[in-house]
Amino acid sequence: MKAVIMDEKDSVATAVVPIKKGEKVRIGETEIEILSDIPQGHKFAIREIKAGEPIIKYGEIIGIATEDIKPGEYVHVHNVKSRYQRGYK
Amino acid sequence: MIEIRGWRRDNGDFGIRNHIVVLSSVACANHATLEIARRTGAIPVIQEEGACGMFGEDRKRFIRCMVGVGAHPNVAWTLVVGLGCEGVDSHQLADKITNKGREAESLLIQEEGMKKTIEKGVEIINRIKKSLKPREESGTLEELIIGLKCGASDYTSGLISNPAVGKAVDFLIEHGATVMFTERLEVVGAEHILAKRARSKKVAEDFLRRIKKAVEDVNRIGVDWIGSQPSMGNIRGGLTTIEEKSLGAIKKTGNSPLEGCVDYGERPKGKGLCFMDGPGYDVKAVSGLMCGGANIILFTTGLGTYLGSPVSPVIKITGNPKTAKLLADAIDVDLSFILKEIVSKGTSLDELLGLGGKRIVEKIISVANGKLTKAEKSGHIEFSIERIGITA
Repeated sequence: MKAVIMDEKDSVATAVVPIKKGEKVRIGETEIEILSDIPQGHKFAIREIKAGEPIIKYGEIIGIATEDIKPGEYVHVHNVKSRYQRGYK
Repeated sequence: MIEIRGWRRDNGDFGIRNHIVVLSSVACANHATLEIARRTGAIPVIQEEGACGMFGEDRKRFIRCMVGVGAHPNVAWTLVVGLGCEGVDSHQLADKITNKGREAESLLIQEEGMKKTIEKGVEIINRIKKSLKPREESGTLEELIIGLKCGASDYTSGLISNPAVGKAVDFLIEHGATVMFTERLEVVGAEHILAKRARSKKVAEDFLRRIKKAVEDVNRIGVDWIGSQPSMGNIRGGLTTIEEKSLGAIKKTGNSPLEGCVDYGERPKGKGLCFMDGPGYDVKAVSGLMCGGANIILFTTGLGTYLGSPVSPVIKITGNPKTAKLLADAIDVDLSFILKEIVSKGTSLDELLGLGGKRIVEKIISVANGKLTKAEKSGHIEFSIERIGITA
């Protein structure tokens, strides 16, 4: 396995090995094409997430998407904001 | 039943170490404290600030913490060393420790001079050393207080080491142990989960009030959380937001009910899972747990740390293969096999975490029975009390 999800409700998976752009990763029944290099331990979207929508890991909200995120796209501080981060309403 | 051999204190507490402690009450007494410890082999507890320049709640908290050190179950006997003019009197601190049914004496540098303070301290400790009893009384897991802490977290913390500790914690609590977790800001974003697990509405409200205050305290100074919570190291390790960090952090607490909350450095009031209202900074969090009477502290780490504690053995646990290898002289429980098995065999994570939890429980029992942790072997004694107000 190259990536794991923590809960079936999750919208992101965690790479347990570094994953290269263009690699295909199986998450349950679906296969996802990775759109940019994902460092080990970092996350990518496993479904489409619209700007303003919550990012789900552990079956819970870990933050809000600041832009539209496609399946296979890298998810980190560049496109997610904490609900506690200054300026967030 | 799991039997542990240790020391039964006169007040009923059960210790797994029998330390003689030289407790500096103020940074001005650190030199004498370290010198007495160096000449006797006693454990020094030194202050970053200590008994001076404090107002109100800080002063109350400091006294509580110092009594917590002197009356710690793992401590046999304490020598309090002060300068003399500081805000909290060392003779009174020693009295407060003896009032808890424990043993302490005190020396003030302004009453003796430096040379005589050190000589007297050495003489007293050498006398006490001869009176120490061997490890012969028996206890059970029910009598242990276990502290929880995570530091230098990365993606392996929330994935492997914290949930494995959670499995161990469920086992410990089933066997009647007391377990304390802390780090008020590393609950933010996950507080609703713990509030749901609270024993009563009152406990839930108390817990949520403390977390809300922690968030308001940070927002009041108008800073951005990012870079501090999560830290830059956390972000490099793959953690994006405080919510993600917290949701991974609270995995350490397993699934047991939340029985209550205590203030920083305070002893839990009953068995089961307890929240200590303390900071996330490793040294101050571990020190708070120590002052609260933790016999052992489980410390999960992603990127690794060497941190120890003067009187509570710290068991370091990692799920990160690189850290386990690079910092092998710091890590007591290496759970990196879990990640390797997920990658190579696709084994179920839950099954592997169960195995990890078992290894942690085995380590707790061996450390409780006298096996030294890596931090104890290398003499780590980091200590610092969390201050809240202004310094006078």
